[in-house]
Amino acid sequence: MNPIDNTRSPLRARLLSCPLAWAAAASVAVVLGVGMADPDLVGQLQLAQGFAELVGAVACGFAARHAAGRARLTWILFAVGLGIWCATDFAFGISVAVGWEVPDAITIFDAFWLSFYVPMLTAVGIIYRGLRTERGWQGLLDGALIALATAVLAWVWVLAPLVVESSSRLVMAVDALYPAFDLAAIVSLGWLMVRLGADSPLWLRAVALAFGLQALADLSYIAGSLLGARVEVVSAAAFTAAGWLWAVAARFRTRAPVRTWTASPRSVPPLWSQLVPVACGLALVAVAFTGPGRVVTAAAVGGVFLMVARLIAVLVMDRRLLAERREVSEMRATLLAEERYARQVADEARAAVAQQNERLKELDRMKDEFVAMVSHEFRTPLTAIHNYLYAVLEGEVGALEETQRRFLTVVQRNTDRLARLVEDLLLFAQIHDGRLSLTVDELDVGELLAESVESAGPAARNAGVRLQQGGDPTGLTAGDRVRIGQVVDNLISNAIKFTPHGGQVHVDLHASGDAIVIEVADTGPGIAPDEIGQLFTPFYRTRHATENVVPGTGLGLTISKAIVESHGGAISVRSREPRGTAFRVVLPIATTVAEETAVEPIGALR
Amino acid sequence: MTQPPLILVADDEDDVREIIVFRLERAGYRVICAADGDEALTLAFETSPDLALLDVMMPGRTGWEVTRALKEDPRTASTPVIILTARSRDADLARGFEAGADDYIRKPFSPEELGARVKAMLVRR
Repeated sequence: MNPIDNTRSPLRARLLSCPLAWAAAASVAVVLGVGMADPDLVGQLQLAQGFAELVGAVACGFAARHAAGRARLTWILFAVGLGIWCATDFAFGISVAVGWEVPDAITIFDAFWLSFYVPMLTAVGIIYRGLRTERGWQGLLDGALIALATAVLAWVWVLAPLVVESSSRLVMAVDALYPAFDLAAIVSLGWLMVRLGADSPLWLRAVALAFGLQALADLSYIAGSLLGARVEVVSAAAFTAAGWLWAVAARFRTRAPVRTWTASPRSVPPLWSQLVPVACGLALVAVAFTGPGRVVTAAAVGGVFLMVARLIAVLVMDRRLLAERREVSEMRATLLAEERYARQVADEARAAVAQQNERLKELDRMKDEFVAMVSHEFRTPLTAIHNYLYAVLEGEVGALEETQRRFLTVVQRNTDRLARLVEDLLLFAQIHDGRLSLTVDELDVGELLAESVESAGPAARNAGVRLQQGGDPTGLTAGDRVRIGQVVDNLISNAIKFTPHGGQVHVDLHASGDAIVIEVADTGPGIAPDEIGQLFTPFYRTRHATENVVPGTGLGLTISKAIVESHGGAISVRSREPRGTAFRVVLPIATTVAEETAVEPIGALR
Repeated sequence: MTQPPLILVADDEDDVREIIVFRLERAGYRVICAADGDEALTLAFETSPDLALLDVMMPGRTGWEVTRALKEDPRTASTPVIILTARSRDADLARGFEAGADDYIRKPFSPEELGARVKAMLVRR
């Protein structure tokens, strides 16, 4: 028989489709019907009961074949138990049929019937052992406790008062054992079903119900012997149904190993499942103290021990749980502390950053004020010097001797140099802060070049350098006239400065695509390959310039580059063959230069 | 024959003020001068000059404040004002224009530039 995976299909559907269930129902109906009609046929009806038990035993045997490990042992035990029961029933039936009178005493058959419970309850115990629920042992102890309490209390208050003769008391006691064992099994399995809730598998429910029906049968037997009623029909029907239920359970056993279906037990058992065993225990304590008889007192004391064992089991489990919980809360506390610390660190960092920002803002403001102050403080005396010198050199305050004139001209030249230096530094400060702004207008680059070449004429003549302009005479674009003029002046003056006597400086303009190209080329000594990449960095001076002490701050090209790039253009340098340097400025023709553009602060200086 | 134009020069730097006065008088203008903003304003109201040359950074009132005061007063509202400034950032120049200045001259300026701008402003008027 193949087991069915009962995790998904609904219960009712499975039962309705199972032939065993139909057979069970049919056989029970027959027993009841015939038994009700003619009570004397009960002996024969017990054959039906035996047959049902046989079917159950065989089914459990087959289930054991297909199971593994603990599950296999469980089903083997069920099969053995059912086999004993079935064989005993057949033996009994045959004896009765042969003519043996059933005495009102304990018989050998009782021994066999009672021995049925040994494998059955062992199997229940194994089911518990295979589980990984918390408080597994507690369930077993609860079962035993409740069963014992029920038996003792039933005896003390119900059965004993009804039985008068002492020999009948023994019989009654043995008869009471049956339902007591049934109850023990029911409570243990039922407790498990309570824990699993809706996840209880079908076979577990079927086994519990089978025990329930057996308990019903056993109780009705006792009732019959007490009250003298003919209740064999009820027991026969109940036993038959129980046998078939065992078969159904075996048919629907879970394929998975027993322990895996306890993966999600309820974490907290319901309150009443804790209180009932305690109440039973207390009742047993009461009976033990009032002592209605030696056997009963012994049983009650046994129950008290069970109670104590249960308490110990609870405590042991609880301690383990408590330890786990403490570990978890310790971990949680550690995590919270770490989180708090991390947050604190983050807050401190944030505060430090905010403070740093404030400092930087303050520094920025101070630098701004410094630059403004420098502008004023340098430019004011330069104004005075320049203007007074002019008046003197023009002869407006008296005639000058040649030497005086010459000397004062030197003063003027150096003053102008100083003034240019101040302007360069202040412009560089603006560029560095990203505060360079342009006044953009229509610009004729050719005209600008012509002006620059003309004003650089005297310097070129002094240096013995031939200065020429070539290429297109005009080139229209949009730009800041003053700034672009500065760039051109800078390139031309550099070329003149670094070209030896007799050399040439050529200024060229031509259009190329959508751009205007300005080239300033000289025949000077050129720039070394390792220095050519650094030319535009602030304050950079070539070895040649330093060795020959050529005047300059190292800012001219930096400023030129910033101006050109803020126009959307590019400036580059290359060495000429056989010797010399050529600077090239490319300016876009399109009027895409935004007014008031801010130039990116130069990265090297940050 | 009309008198030569009267120019008010205000600058707290004595050297600069004196060379400007020298330059303008040589060019044939009449010049009065003040060493701070309040004095400049008083003189302006008293004499109604044809042009005011005002430095920005002065004690008392700044050149901007003097400009604003001149432009708001009906007696001097039509007087052209040129601001002399060592501060060259566009924000500073804009402030001058916002205050009502008609033009500016950046320091350090050359004598030629000073002469040209003054002449241009007077002609415009």
